[in-house]
Amino acid sequence: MKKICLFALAALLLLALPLPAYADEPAKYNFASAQGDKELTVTPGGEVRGDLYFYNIDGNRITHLNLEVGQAPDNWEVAVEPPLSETQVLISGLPVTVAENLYVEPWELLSEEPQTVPEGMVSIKVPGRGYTLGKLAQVVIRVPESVALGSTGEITIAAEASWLGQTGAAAVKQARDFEFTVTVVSESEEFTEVIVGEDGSGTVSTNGATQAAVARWWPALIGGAAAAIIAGVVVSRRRAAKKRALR
Amino acid sequence: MKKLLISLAVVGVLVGLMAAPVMAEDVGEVGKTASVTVNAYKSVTVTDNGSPGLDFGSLTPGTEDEPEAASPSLTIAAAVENNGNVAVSIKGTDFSDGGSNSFDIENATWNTSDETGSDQDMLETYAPVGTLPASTSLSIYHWLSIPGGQAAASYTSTFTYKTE
Repeated sequence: MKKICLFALAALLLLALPLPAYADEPAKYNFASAQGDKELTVTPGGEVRGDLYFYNIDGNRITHLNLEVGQAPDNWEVAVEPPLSETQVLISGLPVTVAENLYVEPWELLSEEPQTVPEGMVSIKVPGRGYTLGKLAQVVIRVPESVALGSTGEITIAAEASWLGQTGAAAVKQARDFEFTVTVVSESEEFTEVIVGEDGSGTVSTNGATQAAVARWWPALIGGAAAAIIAGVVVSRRRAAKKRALR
Repeated sequence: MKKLLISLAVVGVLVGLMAAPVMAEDVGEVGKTASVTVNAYKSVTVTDNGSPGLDFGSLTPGTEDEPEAASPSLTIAAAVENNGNVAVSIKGTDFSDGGSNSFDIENATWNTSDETGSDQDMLETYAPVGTLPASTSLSIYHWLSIPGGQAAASYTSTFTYKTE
């Protein structure tokens, strides 16, 4: 019994060791992001979404994120999901209300892709390091019907990361801009290409089967047709000759 | 029969000659567009070397270049997974007591070394600090001066480090 008690005491001491070590560790404010496709396409009157992933594997504080639309073309509707909302946080037991789009808790680095992902989180591959769990924010871009085909719009999302519990005279924040270039394309899924000549006439190409390509085969088609006619004439003459011989 | 065979052979040669150039174009080298999107990874950790937040202690009016409690105040590190350089710039807000008392942010200065001789004023607009390739870091030192006759109060500010 005495041995068991000593063993339990030793185990408790070992478990308790990392706690003061963590408490003594300086605050690490990590702002980590992975941006998906920066070049997006949208149809007139349509909607497109840009992805921003956030994770926190090098920090030891919760990262609170505010995402604002910094720049967008006039008449384009740009919003961030999740939207700005209030989160209730207890800082050393004291309740604090934080206005934020999302927060990212420190998460461990995983050697393999997690099989189960908690609701509201996403699995993020971190190149050369492994996987972790983080949060996804989407930039929702809606363009008006009247927008011209081929036109582009530059969207900037201004992100600000902050950390609670800073008691000094100056609080530390990080900021980062995320840019998207959105090109307006035709609603038609069919690929078309028109080369406009000097006289204004155009050669239309549809799904690669172009009129020009068909035109390239004309000599072969004409040759084949000529050959068929010649063969027909020869055969008919031969038949006529056979008939004459039978008479 | 012989005439028929000769006619067909002539036709075959004719069609072959006419079709060959077109066939040659089709079986030749064809350029295909390949596309891929590589995600942009950017992870920056600011290590607050002293107590959380930048702490200049209790100062008397007229104090000049009081160093922040930790030296360096902050260490800014770019993570190994970053696939682009991180441009670091810095700005701050005026110090305020939340009421009518305040003093300009230019009373705070920064440097990437611990020398006050070459330190730069903090500004309300971003000033470039440096560029961080992946797996590198830089140190930031801060100092604060208090204008003479500044009213007694607890003042706070926010220092923002743009990392993009």
